Amino acid sequence: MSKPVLEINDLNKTYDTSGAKALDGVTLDLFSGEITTLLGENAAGKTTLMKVIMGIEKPDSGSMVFKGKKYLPSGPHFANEKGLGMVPQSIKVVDRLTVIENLVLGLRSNGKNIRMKHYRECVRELMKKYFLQLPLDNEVASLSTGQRQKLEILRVLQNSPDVIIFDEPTTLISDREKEELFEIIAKLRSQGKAVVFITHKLREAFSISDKIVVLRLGKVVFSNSRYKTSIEELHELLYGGESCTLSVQLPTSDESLLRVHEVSVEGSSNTEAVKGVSLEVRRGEILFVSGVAGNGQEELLDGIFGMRRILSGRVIFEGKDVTGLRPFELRKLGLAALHYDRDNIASCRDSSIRDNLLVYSLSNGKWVIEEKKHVLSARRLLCDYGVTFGEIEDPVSSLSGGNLQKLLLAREISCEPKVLLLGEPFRGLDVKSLESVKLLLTEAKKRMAIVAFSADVDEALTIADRILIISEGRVVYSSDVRPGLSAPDLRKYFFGATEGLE
Amino acid sequence: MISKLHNLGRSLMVVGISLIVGLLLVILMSDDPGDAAKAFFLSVFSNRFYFGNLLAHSIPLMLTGLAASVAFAASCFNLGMEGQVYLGALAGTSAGIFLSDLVPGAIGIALMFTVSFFFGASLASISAILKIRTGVSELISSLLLSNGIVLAVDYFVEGPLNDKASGLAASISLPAEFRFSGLMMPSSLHTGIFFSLFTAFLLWFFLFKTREGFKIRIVGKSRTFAFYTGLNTDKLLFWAMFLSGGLASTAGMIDVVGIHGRVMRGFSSGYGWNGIAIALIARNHPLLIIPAAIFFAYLESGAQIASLEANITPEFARIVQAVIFFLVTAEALVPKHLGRKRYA
Amino acid sequence: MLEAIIRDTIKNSTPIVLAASGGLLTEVSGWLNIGLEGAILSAAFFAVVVSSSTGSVFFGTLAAITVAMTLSSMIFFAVRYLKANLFVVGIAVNLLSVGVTVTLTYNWFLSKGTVVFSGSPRPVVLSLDFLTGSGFGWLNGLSLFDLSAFVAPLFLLLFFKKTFTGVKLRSCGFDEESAFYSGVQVNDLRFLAYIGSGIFSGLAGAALSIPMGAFVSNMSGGRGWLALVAVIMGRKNPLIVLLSALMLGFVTELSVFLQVATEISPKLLLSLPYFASFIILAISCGENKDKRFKDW
Repeated sequence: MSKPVLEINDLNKTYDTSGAKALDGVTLDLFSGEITTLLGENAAGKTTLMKVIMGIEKPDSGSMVFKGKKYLPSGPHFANEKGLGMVPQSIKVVDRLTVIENLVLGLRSNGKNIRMKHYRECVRELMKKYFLQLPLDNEVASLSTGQRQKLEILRVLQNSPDVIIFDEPTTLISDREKEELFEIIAKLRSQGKAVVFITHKLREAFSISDKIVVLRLGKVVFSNSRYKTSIEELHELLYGGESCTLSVQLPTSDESLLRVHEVSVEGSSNTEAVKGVSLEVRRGEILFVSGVAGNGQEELLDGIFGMRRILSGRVIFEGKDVTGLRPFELRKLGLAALHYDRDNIASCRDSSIRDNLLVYSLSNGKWVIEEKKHVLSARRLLCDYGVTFGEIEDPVSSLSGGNLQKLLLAREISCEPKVLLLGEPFRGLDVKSLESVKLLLTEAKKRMAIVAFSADVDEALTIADRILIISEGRVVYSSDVRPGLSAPDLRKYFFGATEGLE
Repeated sequence: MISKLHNLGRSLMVVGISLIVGLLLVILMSDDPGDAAKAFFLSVFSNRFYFGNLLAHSIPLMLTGLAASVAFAASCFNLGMEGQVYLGALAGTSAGIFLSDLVPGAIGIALMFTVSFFFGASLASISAILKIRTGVSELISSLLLSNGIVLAVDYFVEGPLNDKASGLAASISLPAEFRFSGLMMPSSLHTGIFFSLFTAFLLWFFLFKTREGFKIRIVGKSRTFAFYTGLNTDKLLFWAMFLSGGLASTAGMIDVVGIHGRVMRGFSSGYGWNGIAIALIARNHPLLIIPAAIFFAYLESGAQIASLEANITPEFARIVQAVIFFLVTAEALVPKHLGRKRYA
Repeated sequence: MLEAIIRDTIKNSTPIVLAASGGLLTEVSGWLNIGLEGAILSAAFFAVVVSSSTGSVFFGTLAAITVAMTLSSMIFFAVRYLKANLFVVGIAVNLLSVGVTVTLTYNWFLSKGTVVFSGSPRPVVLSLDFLTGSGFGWLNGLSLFDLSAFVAPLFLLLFFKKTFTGVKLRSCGFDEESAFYSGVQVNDLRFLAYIGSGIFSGLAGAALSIPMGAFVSNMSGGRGWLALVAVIMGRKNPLIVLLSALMLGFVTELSVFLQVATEISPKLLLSLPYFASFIILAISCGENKDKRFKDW
């Protein structure tokens, strides 16, 4: 076998803030003309590994060799120059620039010295070569998610790099776009590039790769040619013997607490992210709003909770029109929300655990703060919800993701709202925390109505009473959860709207 | 806890560096460095007069420092304090002139402070409202207003309110019963220092022990979090700026009531800017404002004395202050993780 | 008469336009330079001192640019490497300039107010006979500084739209993270912007003091802040920045004109530009009312 293009030797990385070990002695070789798939669950270290390769994160120890030379990347710019490119997981394009200007951003400088006019020709050729057509002079804000991803791919391909990384490229796009993407990847292989494809979907991994690598908790637990393994073996490796338990409870029918009627919500830079969505939720039920992330779920939550402008439609809470009210007014009425962005919005990193937990009781309590009482109630809450922490005055950033999530849930549930909106309640939780959070929610729903926004249909099925799927800002599916409803069935609807239109 | 110590250490280090810079400047500029350095660093402690003046100088600085720290606590930049100082002094003094012979001294002083507080507070509120309504940075809007106001106050002091008989660029004097009594004669120290100290304590209690203070601090730490969590961020920003403007203007008033007895052109030698530096050094802690203000008063008095005794222009203190501004927010000045692992 | 007003307006706007161009560069890079005022002041001082001692306008300008560049790089380095607060460090530069210029005028010229350099060279001014009476007569009497002030925003317009570096620079201000992921060296470009800002504010300072042949303490007189107002009003568009700066220059000129022409107290008139620019700022930004959350 030939020499590998990129050799990765014994990389280790521990994050300061959470203390979690993201990479644990990872060793990996990438070869030209080969597609390597990295498989693994969330938080298995896939993305961290790629960030280290691109120089976005620095490893604690370990080394890399690229084309026979020691490789110490200082950032994406450096990697670009050397001949490595990445299509990141969450789309990273500059909305306010045009397509061609965005392409300029990724152009490596040690190529030929080309001028803007000449450059346009180059880009046209490139688009023809890979069958990727984009409107070059449109502002990126007007592009669809699929088009944005194409833009990112072009941005990488224009430098004709030797190693190309696709970080979970299939989560945001439709089936048809997926086919196109796979064609491009196959083409890159035939050109002799080393392609890294990151996913957590087994079938995809199997259908296109030459080599499959499985990561778990920062360790490489499997690495072999695709032809020497089977889907069953990989499934076993990834998920163990875990099976899906369905516990369906019939919703207690009660008066409707929150009604969202034909609501449209503003997205970034004057676009419409949510287009006429209606939903209704009663006391004692959990409604899941699902679908592929980035299709308007976050904006819908923000819109209902008054953090984003509602363009049309109405939000009715207990028969009262609350459209466009701000969070402090809504919270007084009894509507609470746990925001998606746990680190920047739902919590205050610089504040202590106590302040984050008791922000409501402190800001609605007596004029002079009653320290002792608050410390006591904080300790009790943290204990009740099983949050592990050091000192109550420690900054909240010292908590791990799962503990932070539990703390935030404790805060939201303990103020006894009538309706609770939850953004991605399960994101980043380990199995143990997941179970306890689910338990908390099923307990809490007896007293309130819960609307959870989550892309995770599998988990949604285990505790939801009803499921709503949003695609491209519209409701494409809505149903009660009943036995026999399976996650793969639901996923079919994920790209429903786009398929229907084309 | 570690981060608090870390911050304090950084402040002390900045103070140290600034003193070294001051010493270097004195040595560079003076013909007789030894004498000049002595004048700058030590003369302040040589007699009651100098020392009393130092403390007198710290009185308004504490107030502007507190004013800046309230705004900072809510993550606002009140750069208009200089204007608020002058407007507060002018408005309060005008009220005092109007009230003379009408009310007894104590009530008169209280009324003057109240009027002055509300004028300065309103001035700062304009910037706050503009920020809330239109998103214009309060930093620049407060500064523009302040620069304009300082000139307008000059106009009143030289024009309609001028004390023609004195031949000074100063307003008519307040009656004697509307003045604070002096301490440590013959220096200009006055009983107003208790007012400043008490205000510092009051503000500390407000920010750290009360509900509204807590809210303001949360807004300052993360505005998105505060908004999401159900605080009325607009209102809180407004009140923080209001309070900041009010406190800044009492700094002007206290100098009038305590020292000059009238508004004079240019009486505030940069109280506003110094207030910002003081708040930064004290890391926004109202009680730490007290030593920080005294330190700044020490710098300024030292520079004044050096200029009298050693022929150095007192403006060199500005350079020392600039050094403080450069370094005071520098997080990397004291590395948090010494000996962090390097990339192998 | 009209010609004189136009000419004086332009002459008054020159430092503002130049400084605003510098400010615009930094605004576009995402880190607005608050230290313009100080950079102008220091540059003005060194411009006139060096030009009078060397007898060359060119060397004076060069000195001004060097000083302003040093000051703005100091801001950049303090923020980049010492992780200091951008605004506080900007204020530091303003204070430093006041301190340094006053201290040096006192030490070198034993004066604290105005220092006149009687023998200092003046910049060449445009003087073409055929322009007189053609409607462009106001062009006569403009110096190279004034002309460069007009070229600067146009240059920036081309730079932002037509060069790769310009596009990359703009991306830093719009979306730092995406730019970084795309492969833009965000901080290197910002350094470039700060160097540029130094060049422009250096020119602004030179344009202030060299034609006058004198240094007056605090002679920048808030022009750096007015330039920042122009930058904020311009919303990253060089042409609107130019227009805003011209408008502010006109207001300044108006206050000077009224001081000569009317009985109104000069102090009140001096405060006019500040109040006027405050009102203009409030009105021009009045439209983005219902911004909630998005921009925070």
